[in-house]
Amino acid sequence: RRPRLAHGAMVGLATFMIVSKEDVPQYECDFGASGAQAAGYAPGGKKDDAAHLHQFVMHAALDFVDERAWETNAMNLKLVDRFNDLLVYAFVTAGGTRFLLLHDQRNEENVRNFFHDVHELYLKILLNPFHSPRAPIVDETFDARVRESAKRHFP
Amino acid sequence: ARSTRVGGRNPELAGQAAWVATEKVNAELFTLTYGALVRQVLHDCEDRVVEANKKLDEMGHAMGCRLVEDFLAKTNARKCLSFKESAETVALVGFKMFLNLECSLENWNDDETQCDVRFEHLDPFTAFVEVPDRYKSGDDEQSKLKYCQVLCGAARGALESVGVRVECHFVKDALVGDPSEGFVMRLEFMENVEDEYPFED
Repeated sequence: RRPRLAHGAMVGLATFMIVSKEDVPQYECDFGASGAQAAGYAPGGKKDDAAHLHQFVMHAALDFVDERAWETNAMNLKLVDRFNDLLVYAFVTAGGTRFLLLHDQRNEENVRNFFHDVHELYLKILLNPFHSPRAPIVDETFDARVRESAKRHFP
Repeated sequence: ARSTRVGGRNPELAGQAAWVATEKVNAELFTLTYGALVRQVLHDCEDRVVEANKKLDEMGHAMGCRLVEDFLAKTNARKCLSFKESAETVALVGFKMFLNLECSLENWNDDETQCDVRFEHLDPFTAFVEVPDRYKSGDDEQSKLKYCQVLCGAARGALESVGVRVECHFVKDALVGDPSEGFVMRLEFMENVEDEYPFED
């Protein structure tokens, strides 16, 4: 078992995205910096640039996600791409929906647990008969729980 | 008079026994199928909620007419002597037998012609369901989606088949109203239907 990160260790910027099988984004969640840095977003412009870069990197990684998905039966594809110091982790559901996590630290165990949690939450959304499979996920409870899970696994 | 399956009148026990004896189907399959059904009805009615509610009620009614035959064959229940007994049979034995739904009858009026059926939950129908705002907004209760109306229709259809005409609808619906108030169905006796039915005393 990998040791957990020391309490108070900075995990850094992370963005999570759900992309449908047809490459349509359904959900996005920017965690920003955790812990002590949570309140300290850089003023306006810089944060936007960072957000744009994250989106770009994650979309670019989709090709690699597809490649890795061919190679394995597992849903968790772990690390699929790297851009400078940004790491992209991916998870593919049975229906072909992709979960992408952009992170700047290597922590496969926590990422795996996080993906597992989100997968459960995602299934509940999917089971709602009024949810269209390709529609954006706007449910506030889902968003809150995803953020909770992120806080739990990336303390 | 036919003998009852269980000594005396104990609808809860009869319900439990009937449920145990019934063939089962996967609960999630039922829930997902019902969800698809409601979705399709709404689609066919082009999102006109009032029409969709009516359609769901009609479907329930048709099902109830058939289910009551199955029910009577399987439970060997004796003829009900009052509306109260009929209501208990439908709610405590029928709903339990077919859906494993637990409920209680409360709020009887003095005449014993009207009561509320309170459900702990309606999971076979409502598990994982979130009704979108467009189907539950508006002040008029009639313009809100009656997701579980098939159940009301079934109760109505079943009772009608044995000569009892009722009104049946949800007065508290957690899916479109206050979730903490749960699900409460109102059953109201209207009249006995005079037709002859081939059920022996």
